Amino acid sequence: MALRFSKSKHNTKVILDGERWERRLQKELMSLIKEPPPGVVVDSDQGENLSLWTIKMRGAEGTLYEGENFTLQFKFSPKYPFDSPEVTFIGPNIPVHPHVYSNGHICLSILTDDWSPALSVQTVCLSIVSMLSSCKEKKRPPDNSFYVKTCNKNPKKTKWWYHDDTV
Amino acid sequence: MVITVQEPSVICGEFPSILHNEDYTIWEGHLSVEVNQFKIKMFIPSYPLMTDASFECTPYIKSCLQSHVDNLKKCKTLLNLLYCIIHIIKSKLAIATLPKDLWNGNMVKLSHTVLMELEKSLSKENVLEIKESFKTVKLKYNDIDGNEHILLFNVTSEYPKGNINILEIDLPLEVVESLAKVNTIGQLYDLFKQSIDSLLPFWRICKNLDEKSWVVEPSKPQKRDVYRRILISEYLSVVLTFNPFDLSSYPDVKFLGSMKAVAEGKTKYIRNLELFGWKEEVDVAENLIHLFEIEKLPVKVSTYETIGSENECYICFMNTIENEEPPSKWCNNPQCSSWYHHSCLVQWLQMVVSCAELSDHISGTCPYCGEKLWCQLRKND
Repeated sequence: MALRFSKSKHNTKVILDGERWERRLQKELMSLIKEPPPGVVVDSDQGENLSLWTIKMRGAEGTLYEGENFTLQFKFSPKYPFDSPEVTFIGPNIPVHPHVYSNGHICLSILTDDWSPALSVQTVCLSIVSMLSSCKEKKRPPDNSFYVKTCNKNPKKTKWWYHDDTV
Repeated sequence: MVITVQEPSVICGEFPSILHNEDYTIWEGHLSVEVNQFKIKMFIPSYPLMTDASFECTPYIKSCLQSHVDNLKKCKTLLNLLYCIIHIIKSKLAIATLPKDLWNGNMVKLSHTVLMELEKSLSKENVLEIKESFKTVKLKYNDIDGNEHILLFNVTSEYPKGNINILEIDLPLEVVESLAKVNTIGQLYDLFKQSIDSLLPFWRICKNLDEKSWVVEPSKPQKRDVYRRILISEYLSVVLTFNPFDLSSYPDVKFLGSMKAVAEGKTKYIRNLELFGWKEEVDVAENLIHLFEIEKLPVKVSTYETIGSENECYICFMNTIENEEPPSKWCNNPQCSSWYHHSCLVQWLQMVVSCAELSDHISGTCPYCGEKLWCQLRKND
């Protein structure tokens, strides 16, 4: 069990080269469609809006989530990849997992504190797949009902206390 | 009509001012009609067949030929077409005075001089491009090791008076400086070839070293680079600077790394160099292994799964960006495969509150492996 207090590590000084980051997103989308991580399906038609993606994820065989289908939503701010994407589960089936709240918010350090621009949609998907696959008991986080009632719509506004590093 | 295989050589003989590309689909140059020169560029996509043939010419010539298009279309060979065009222009010239868009005498003289020189000193396949009315020329030379070398230069319109300006070349600085002193295209190309041939042993040494060691700088060694920064150990790297024309002397060595590693490495190197000397019979890598008393030189490994292909920036996933140096290695962790554009890395480090920004540099951690790193800030950051 590792408890860490989260502090926002980003300040606001950004000089953006819009085209550069748009090209990176485009490139990520193409490579994700061509070589998706196991259990991940990306619709090539992500609509006009490159800053909002929906990604389908299948529970891996031999895990507690086998046979289940989930939908992930990625929201990218204009500061991406210097700013982490906002990643949530959406749709009718939110995985029951100790790090996933029933409103779809995911408690995963690389999505906030440990984000780095060298990470990508692909690595985030892999982390989520492995987080689900290593789960030993299907249950909601202990503070689920309080959190869901009080939290901000944007999971990145949450000051997370990471429950542990292993799952 | 029977098309003879010798047609290209016949055309080259009859029209020496017209050059063709490798597969004969583009013919470009000047047609001489009496004392005048006309610029023309012909596209013959299915050469020797004249299917879909087309050409570009000056407005005046176009107006001359317009009423004869049907005749021109009947031409079954390029030679035939060229004769046909000349015939039409000749007949027009007889009745019309020359308009302004014809070449002035000066230009004609220049094109002749340049072409004559090119013809004298090199074979056609080494001429890649002639642009801007014969003022810009691109030549190539293939050395016996199979490398292609490019030389792009331009001459003044008063050529052979005035300087030859070298626009593009990839050879060590001192060679480029000596090339800049010659006066004629012929001399320039000869010296270009000579220099390349005499640099071959040096490039072979570099190639061998690049394969056997971990070259940190330059990120992508070019033919012009006479130095290599290579890793000796995790905390020590050396910058070797060669004299490409004197390979019997050992390279100049600068030590970089942690104070302790530099002190230790330097002591060993100097002591062993005095004791045993630099061995000419073995390669550079072997010498370094002996002199630094190491088992082997570190070679490039990447134990991390890479996101993009090699040499792409790990932040923007791009390689080339306008006005930006290509991505290079900033992280000193030998296991880390990351490459970053300077601007991408600085932008990230400046966003991380825990990064220490000093007057001329910023330090933080590698976005990929987390190792401590630092980089210089430039004026515009």
